[in-house]
Amino acid sequence: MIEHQFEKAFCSALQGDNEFHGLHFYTALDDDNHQLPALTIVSKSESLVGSTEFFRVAVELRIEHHAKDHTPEEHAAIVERVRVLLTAKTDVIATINAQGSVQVIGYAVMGAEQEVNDGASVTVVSIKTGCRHC
Amino acid sequence: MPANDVTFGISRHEGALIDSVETTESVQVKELAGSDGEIARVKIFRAMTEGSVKGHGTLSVVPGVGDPGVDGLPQGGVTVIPDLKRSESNEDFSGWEYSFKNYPNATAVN
Repeated sequence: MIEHQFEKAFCSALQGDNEFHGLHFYTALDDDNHQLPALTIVSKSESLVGSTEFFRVAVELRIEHHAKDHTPEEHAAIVERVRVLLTAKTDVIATINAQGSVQVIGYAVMGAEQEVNDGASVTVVSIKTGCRHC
Repeated sequence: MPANDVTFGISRHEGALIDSVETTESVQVKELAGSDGEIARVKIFRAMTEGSVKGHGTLSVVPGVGDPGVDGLPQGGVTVIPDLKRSESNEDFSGWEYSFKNYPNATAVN
């Protein structure tokens, strides 16, 4: 299942960053034990003209902090760090691809949306990617 | 054609990453009106097939006289590929698109 492999690989690529200490990383499938602060990666794939090899994957990076534990500035700092990491496209792609489960050919950050949800600060960063199934 | 004869998917062009194949067969018609104003004579001429292919990945087609790689075109004559468009997008796979014209009664001139 390319979505889960992709989400796991993307989580691993971001997880090692020092500024994400204490942040919980989840894929869409292991979202049950949801503890904040969290970065959850949810993806949706679409085959390129029916191919079993190439896929378009729409990705959402959902960054959540509980308002009682973290200030809006702390939340914004993590969101900004995610954005900075994503601008290093070559490095992110190389780290994901080195894991061997899915090959990212390219991606583009489409935008971000902020919301306050049940006392949590939430920012969703949207990405479009082109992937090849390994 | 009855509905149970339809096909689904690409069958007229090789390759796993073809978006679409389209062809249009056409003739031109010369009409001659009779004395009563109704069309009394018709002449069909200039039969041709035009089409286009859209896809992704490696492509060997180049503009000029050549094989467009589409099955079911008339045998013989000359097929010309007048244009080939290659596209890249910031948020999608790269792709290409070309058109072709088949002139069944023509001979290519160098």
